[in-house]
Amino acid sequence: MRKRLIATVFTTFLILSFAFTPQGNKECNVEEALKTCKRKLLPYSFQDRKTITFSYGAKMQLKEYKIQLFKGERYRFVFNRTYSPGVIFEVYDAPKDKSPRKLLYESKNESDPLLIFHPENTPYVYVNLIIPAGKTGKQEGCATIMIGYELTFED
Amino acid sequence: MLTLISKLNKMKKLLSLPLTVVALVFLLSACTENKAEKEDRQQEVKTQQPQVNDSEEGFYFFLPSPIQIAHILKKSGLIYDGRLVNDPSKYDQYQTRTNGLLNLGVYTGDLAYCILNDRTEESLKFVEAIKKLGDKHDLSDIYLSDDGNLESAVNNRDSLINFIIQTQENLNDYAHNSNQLSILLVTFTGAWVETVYIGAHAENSSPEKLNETLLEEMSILRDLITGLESTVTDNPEIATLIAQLKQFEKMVPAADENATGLSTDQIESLKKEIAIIRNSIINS
Repeated sequence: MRKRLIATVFTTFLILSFAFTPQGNKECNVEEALKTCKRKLLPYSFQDRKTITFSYGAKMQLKEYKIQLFKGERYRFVFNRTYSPGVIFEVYDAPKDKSPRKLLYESKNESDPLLIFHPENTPYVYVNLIIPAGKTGKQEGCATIMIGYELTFED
Repeated sequence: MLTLISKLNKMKKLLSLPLTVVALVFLLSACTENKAEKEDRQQEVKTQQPQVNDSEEGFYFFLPSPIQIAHILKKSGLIYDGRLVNDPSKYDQYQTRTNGLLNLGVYTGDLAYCILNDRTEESLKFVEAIKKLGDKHDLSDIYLSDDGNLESAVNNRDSLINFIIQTQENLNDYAHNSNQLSILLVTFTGAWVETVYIGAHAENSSPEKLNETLLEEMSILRDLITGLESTVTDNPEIATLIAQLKQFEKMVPAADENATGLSTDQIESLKKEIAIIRNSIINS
């Protein structure tokens, strides 16, 4: 009887630990995410960055960031979603409250957690960060957006 | 044979309960997954327009870098004029943290202007002023090279450019790590004011192009004001600066309003007003 009880408890514990482990959620390592972005940014020069930390909520969330692009300049955007599984980046030529607006880039069909985008010349672009609804209760994530520009000299 | 059957029966009994638990757990797990998937599908249908989250602290735009805005002006035909930069020996007079940060920005704008015009000697004076002012406001680590030796780090244009880009990165990391995003806004405001001041007052080889570039640089102003308002509170120095910047903003059209350049009157007003703002920063 005792052996049976121990076997039951052990098996239950084992199964429960497998069944309810959150899938694909790594703890945010902001420093590492930044280092990776900086490596991917080269040979462009660092301009600015944002690290967005969030909790997956019951509903999908959207955060929007505005970036001014100077005429004739070349830029590189690096998106890092290593620590934010399911997050989608979209880039538009107008803010979310303006219609119509043109979708310039989307990461929906990309599998790599590290993404690069070179925007065409337009005065402003708007990066939308779309955080999907959470599946397993409270989970946290972080995503990084880093912008670089090309610094060239004529001489 | 009987012994074997008896042992098998015992094992069966021993395993029956755990197996039942395993089956139940899998069943429960599958049900939960199906329910979650169903909720997801319902959610996808419901939320074609995702929920907007505007509650995060900070500001929702990316800042240009001081060397970048100076570089853009330089490409528009700006000519070097040493009389337009701030005096690097004045670093000691900037006593408050706000004024110190604003003038760190001013000196960074001056440094960028000198570097891009190959003025190494002048550049080194600004590097020194920046370092001393940084020291005074507990930001010394930001203005050191990787090996901690400032002098060896900056002695030609490439190393000076690296210095200015690296310090921008360091400042950015410091502001984020210490949750003081206002530092980025305040120093950039100083650099922006200085760069626009120089851009408006220096001689230039291509006035039309410079006019267009100045208009582009003016369009940063709205975001700067919004950023300062959202990150700096209860600071009379910044409140005065915001009031000045708002007044300044009224004078020129934003680049996204289909304007192609500034009129002669607008340029004259711009020169006058930016000089007032700039002088109140460097002489306080």
